[in-house]
Amino acid sequence: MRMGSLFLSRRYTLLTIVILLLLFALILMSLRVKQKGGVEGLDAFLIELYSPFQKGATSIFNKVKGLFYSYLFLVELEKENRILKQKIARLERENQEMKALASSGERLRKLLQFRDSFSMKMVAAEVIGRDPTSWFKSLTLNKGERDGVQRGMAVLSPEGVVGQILKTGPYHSIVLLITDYNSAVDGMVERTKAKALVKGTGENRCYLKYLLRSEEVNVGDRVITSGLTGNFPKGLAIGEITKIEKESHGVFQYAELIPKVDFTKLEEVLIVTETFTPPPQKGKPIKKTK
Amino acid sequence: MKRIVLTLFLGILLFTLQSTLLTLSPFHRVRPDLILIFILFMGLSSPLVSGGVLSLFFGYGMDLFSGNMFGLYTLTRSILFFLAHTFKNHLYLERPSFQSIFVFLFIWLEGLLILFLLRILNPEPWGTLLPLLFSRFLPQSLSTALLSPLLFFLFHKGSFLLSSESKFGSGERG
Repeated sequence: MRMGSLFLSRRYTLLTIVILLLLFALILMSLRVKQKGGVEGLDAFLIELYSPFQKGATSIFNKVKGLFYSYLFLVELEKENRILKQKIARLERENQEMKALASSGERLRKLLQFRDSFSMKMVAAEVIGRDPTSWFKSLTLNKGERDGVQRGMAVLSPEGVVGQILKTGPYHSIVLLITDYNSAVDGMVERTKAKALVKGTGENRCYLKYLLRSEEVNVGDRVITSGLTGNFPKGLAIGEITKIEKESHGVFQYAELIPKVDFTKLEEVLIVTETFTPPPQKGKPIKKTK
Repeated sequence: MKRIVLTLFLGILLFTLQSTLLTLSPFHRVRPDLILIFILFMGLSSPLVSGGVLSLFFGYGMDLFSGNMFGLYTLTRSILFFLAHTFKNHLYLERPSFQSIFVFLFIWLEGLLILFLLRILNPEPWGTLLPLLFSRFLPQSLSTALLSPLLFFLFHKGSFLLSSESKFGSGERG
């Protein structure tokens, strides 16, 4: 009898714990939905807990990748040519390193040129991790609040818009890519100035939402930021229209675009640390805030 | 305690692999979900409370780094853990093919749950969400299912070594 009640109480305790844990998950979920941000302190702590691992792993993988490419074709060489081939290997490795350096230098030069072409304040950051799921699109950067990075700031590359900062820790931050299903950026078709909302599809594509049916847009038209929101300055490249669907009825038309940025090859980005107020009314000056 | 710390550390390592090395693959769609396999293995082998808390923690990490604003994985990963734990005595998982099917079914269960929650929390036309199910989710679920027997084997070996070591340690103390 006593054993039976002990078993029952243990069973109920476990059940209570399971219910409490699931309830905790639901509370967290409702907190996130309500604030659209999450539990800031816990988020920052976890970002800082995971990011050093990502940073270390990325750096190791990049080094191993370099070595792997250098030695891949040199593994099964004949013995009599060993010395010569070691020399080739060394030269190839040096060549590979030089190429990597040149490529990195070229990327950084482009980044600098791009930064200099704008008067706004920017911080350069390195991509240290990518989204771990198949539903959402994000990047982890090695710059955080201590570098002046804040939630909502625009993230760019020389090719165009990358996304915006979603979460920040003291030394790291997370970017929501423009291709993410939850992302929305104010854009306009450069040629016709037709305004629309650029939404992500979850794939490596975006589409234009609320693009009026009366607007004349063509495949190949460039889409740029409209500057209507405080995060993105006007005129930055977002992508190119690849598909248009116009129904015989309705107010809006559908247009799909491919982003200018290849997110799979992105290694460095720029974070705009200034926010811009939308274009002023006639007669009012542009206000720039830090 | 040692077991929990090691499980936590292993989970973080798997997460790091998933968000760094596996993203370098030229086939971006074929990216196995290592954390999910690990959580399911925990469901079959870990105690209810510590395993539940750890799966909640790993789910939270997934939410944080995926840019998901709703906290979906915190909930779904905990549910998957509890389901695996509840049905562990009713599942035959000795053969690799059964392990693959088990993981495949659970990953689809989670996928449909996420789709359902996304639909409720952020009403979007199915036209935006459904293509993702086949273009992104299906390749990922297949690769995860195929990799699961190998990872189950490795986790099992690691778990066995850990338990035999602790038994040896307790014997020494005794």
